[in-house]
Amino acid sequence: MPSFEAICDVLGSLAAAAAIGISAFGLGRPALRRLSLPHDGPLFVGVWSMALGLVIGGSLLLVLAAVGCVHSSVIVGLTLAACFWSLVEFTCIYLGATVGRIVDPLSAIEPSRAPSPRPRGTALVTLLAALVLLPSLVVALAPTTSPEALSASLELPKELLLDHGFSTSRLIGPAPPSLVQMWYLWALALNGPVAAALVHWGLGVLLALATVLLARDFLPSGYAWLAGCLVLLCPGVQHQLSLPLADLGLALFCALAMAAVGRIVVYLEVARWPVAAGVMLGAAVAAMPAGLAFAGALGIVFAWVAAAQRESRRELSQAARTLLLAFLVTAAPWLFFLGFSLNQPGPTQSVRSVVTHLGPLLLLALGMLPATRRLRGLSLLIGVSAVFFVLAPYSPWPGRWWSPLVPPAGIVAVWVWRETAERPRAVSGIISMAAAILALAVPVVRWTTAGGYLAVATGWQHRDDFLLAREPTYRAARMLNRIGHSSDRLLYQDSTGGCVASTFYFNCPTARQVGGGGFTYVLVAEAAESASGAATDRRLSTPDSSPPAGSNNEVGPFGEVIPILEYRFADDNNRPIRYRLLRLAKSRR
Amino acid sequence: MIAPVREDRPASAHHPRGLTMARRAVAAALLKHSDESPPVSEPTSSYVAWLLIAWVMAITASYFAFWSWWTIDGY
Repeated sequence: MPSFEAICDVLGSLAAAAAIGISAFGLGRPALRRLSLPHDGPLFVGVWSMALGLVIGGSLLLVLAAVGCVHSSVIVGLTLAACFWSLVEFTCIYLGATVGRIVDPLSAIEPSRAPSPRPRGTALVTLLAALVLLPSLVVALAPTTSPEALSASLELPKELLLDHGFSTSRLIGPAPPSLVQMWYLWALALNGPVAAALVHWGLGVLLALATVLLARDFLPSGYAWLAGCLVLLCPGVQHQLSLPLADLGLALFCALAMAAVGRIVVYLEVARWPVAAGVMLGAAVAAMPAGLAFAGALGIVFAWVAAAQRESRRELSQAARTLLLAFLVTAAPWLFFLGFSLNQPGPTQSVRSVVTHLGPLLLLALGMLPATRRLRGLSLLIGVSAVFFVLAPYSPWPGRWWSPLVPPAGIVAVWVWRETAERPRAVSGIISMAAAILALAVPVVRWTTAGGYLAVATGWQHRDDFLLAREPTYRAARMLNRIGHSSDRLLYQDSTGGCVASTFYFNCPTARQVGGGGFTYVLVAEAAESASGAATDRRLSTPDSSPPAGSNNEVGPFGEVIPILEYRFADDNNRPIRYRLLRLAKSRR
Repeated sequence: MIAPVREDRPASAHHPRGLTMARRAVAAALLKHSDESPPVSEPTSSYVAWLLIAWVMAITASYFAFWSWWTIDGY
């Protein structure tokens, strides 16, 4: 039976993520009104308001962190204020829609325009996209155990909450802070890591809707929705939907920046869109440094268009100046932090990994593109994507840079699909069958993965039990969180030579290097001797019955230590790892 | 951007008149397209069709044959 407490945990995380989404809309809607971009329906207003609101919210949290005011109470108060403003905005929208429904008698008797025909396969792809979103939501509702998500994305927000702002050591940290991490700070302050994962899941949905907006500039409405669904079928997107990482935020801002720049260079709407494009490009850089490569690619294509157009060169150069100013204002604080990390080697992604993330369906479409007719404007998308593909690996601290390629690839795939459907029935039938098999394969994999998370996502399993079974350091974290004090500091020493586990679930500050001192506890991870027991189960840990403190003192490399807890946990290669939580005797209270 | 397959989007009517020519020039010079009907009966289209089918089969087969290659493991 699901316990009341576990169900409350699930509902609390959902409510926190929803509050962040509603607050983002409340923060972004006035900004969108101020930009006075031409309205194009509720989808346009919703997506642009949320995107702008996320930029404003993240920047506000960065300011709070810079001045040392990161307190849960402050963030909750700001969230409530933004939610209240959202309610005002929703009321205005409702009243506006009510007035809009009043029609004059003449237009009421005119025959309404027939809706555009739905493209073939829409129902199947929509169903598949829904089938993708559901298992990803199930996995997102479980506490994350991904080492990358815990160490790279959530560790900094946790430290900001503990320190109430940036400490000096954080300025020259191993990786620059990002806008996405500020949203996770927001989620941690309201709820916890599950809310952070749900925020990223929501970003995935927002990315699909932004792709629809981008595609509507090229394709009829039905095909544009198909492009949004295809984005969700991309394996990389599915993988990321359930983890609190940064890639989908980058893709969202890049898609919106591309849509805004398209408006400038094709429609020459130089009065309104440059600011929007600059803010979105700045936000892309703030989300991940790979956004710099995308800004460079967009800049090169923009310059190429401006150079080819003598008649409108003056307007375009004026737009470029406005765009650059908006970009610098938005990205400046994040570039400042990136400057501290430039001397450290950053991870990068191989081309093979990029192809894997894009998935077979989009790869299929890219290969078939030469056999289709040329669609107006598509060369712009392909040009930006191609230049980005070349520049991205050389961007400072590139990280994973696959995600900005997904929305253009989705639009290309839909165009290819439309062309294929017009070929002879036998040809289109064979190609459609293969595409359907590939499209089905990915959700099937997701559902098999989600099965193991269903219990904790629905409250049948408590999060504590889930983490004890899956997260190597959680048992030690739970013990230290019970007995520790606010002044404790943990040193994590890993000599296993494998994947270093995360220390996210410890409520005290943690470090992996001895520098700095002031440690009160040490968590040691070392490969257990093979003779002491073969690892056949992940749950190799001994019970929590720790030896009484002080009964078994030993002298190790840290001086005199007191064993608090010892247990074993099998790593991903089923190798037993021994974890020991030790208290340093010098710091005994 | 100007879409050939979209009928319900009016050309932007709110721009200064002088920009109209420039907009058309952009569309003509940079965003070329062809409006001819899709190839369905030309002799070359059958070769293209076979190439397309071969490409689709190759990707589909490689996806299932080299399953682990397509596994996402962070980077």
